[in-house]
Amino acid sequence: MFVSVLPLRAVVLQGLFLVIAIAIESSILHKKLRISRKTSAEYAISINLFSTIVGWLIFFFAQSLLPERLKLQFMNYILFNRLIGIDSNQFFLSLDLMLIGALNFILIFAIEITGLSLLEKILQEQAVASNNSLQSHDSPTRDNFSSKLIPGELRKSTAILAANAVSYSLIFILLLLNLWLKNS
Amino acid sequence: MKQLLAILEPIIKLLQPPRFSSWQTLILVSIFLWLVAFFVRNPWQTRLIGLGWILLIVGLLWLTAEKPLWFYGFSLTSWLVGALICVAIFGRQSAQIPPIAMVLWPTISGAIAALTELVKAGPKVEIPPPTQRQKVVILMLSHILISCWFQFMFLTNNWLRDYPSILADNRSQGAFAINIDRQKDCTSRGITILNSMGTRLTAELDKKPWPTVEQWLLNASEKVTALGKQAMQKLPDRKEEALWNFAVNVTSREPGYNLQLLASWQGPSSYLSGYHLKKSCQILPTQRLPIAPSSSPSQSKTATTSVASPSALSQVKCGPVSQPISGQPKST
Repeated sequence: MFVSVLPLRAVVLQGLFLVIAIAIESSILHKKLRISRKTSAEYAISINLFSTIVGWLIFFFAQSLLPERLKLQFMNYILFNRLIGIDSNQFFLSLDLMLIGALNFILIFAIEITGLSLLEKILQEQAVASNNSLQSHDSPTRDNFSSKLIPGELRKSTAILAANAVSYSLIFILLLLNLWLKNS
Repeated sequence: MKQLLAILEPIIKLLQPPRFSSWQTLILVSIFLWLVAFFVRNPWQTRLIGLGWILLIVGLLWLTAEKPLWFYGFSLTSWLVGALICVAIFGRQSAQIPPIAMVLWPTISGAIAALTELVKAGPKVEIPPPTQRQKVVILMLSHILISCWFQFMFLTNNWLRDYPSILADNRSQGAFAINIDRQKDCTSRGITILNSMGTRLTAELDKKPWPTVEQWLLNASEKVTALGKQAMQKLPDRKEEALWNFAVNVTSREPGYNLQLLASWQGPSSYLSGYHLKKSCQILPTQRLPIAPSSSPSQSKTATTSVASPSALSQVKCGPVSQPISGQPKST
């Protein structure tokens, strides 16, 4: 075991993004699913850690299979935060990047929904608060309406979708800004 | 002597077993077994040592269950036990610890910490009620994430071992990695290659008759590329071969030639479109015999005349390799 470099920048960046995503998602889950702040924070932490770990596993698996050229692109992005052959003007029009971003989003969304169901199974509790727990002090008309009409599964999925959408848009914008500032 | 005893006293107190079945007994027994193994020959020696390890680990597990020192959500004793387990499993064949041991270390520590949460008050294992599970879940997940980060660290190290020139590009502003090994060769491969090319060029063209030199220079770019490839073959870790391009700029200069050997890097770099390195060499004719200054017309394409006579010998002088220059070289 002989280590000579520590890729601190990538790790610190990921930690930062995790914290941002957890903060945003926990507040959105709290609003949408009517669960307590503490529970929604715990759910957000578990789900985001789970999806990050699955992302890492997919990355490790994929990069061992990739041809050299794509591996070099990866290295270029992770180490130097730029992409070969794409300068800052073409960057925003690059179809490949948009495709990868959309794919990434859908994948993470699927992983997080799976994560939430797994979590519920482990914890044996429902992520959607039932009528008698927290809503008694909220305004009765609006909340009872939505919680009765929309079934639990759909509410969970839409909540996670909304949470994901907001947090990943923010992270994507931050990454784009970072790339654009570095390249120009 | 008294001071030594005073220092050792807290440790001795720690190790004294308060009753028969406690972790201290196990650790003491394991140390005892190791001492016995010292005096015994194989195969009993390996068996005793193995048994000693097992008892030590079980004893420390017990200790973790009783006193997990929580530090910002991480149980320090579980990390210690995890390290021992990893060393015991992976490190006994050879003196070196394989990277997988370090990658699995946080996961195993997390599992141990989770186990200590599950085993409460008594040796029976029970699945905790759902209210406790959330903490265990977050604990395990965060440990696995740290394992992923360790694996990423080894991955990056492998990348940089395969392509050492990228490591040389690690400039201080926005450095992607912290170099903790001061002795590691941080120079770009290109420098080594260009220097080697310079040496080969000198060997091929120095003290040769001038017409040979001019003949050589007619095919300068192919010859230089061949030189570059030969230079690269001498190096270990040849994955970089595909990413270096070689070129040469030949300009004539009274009365000889200027050669600029160029090695340009096509791979990942902190410069926007790669960088290249230059090494300038001069080839000058020297008169071997003192003869009348010849006024033979030159045959070079430029308008200036060269005064090299066919009996002149070449002399090659090469300068050092330049600093990295951004962008790809312009070819003449």
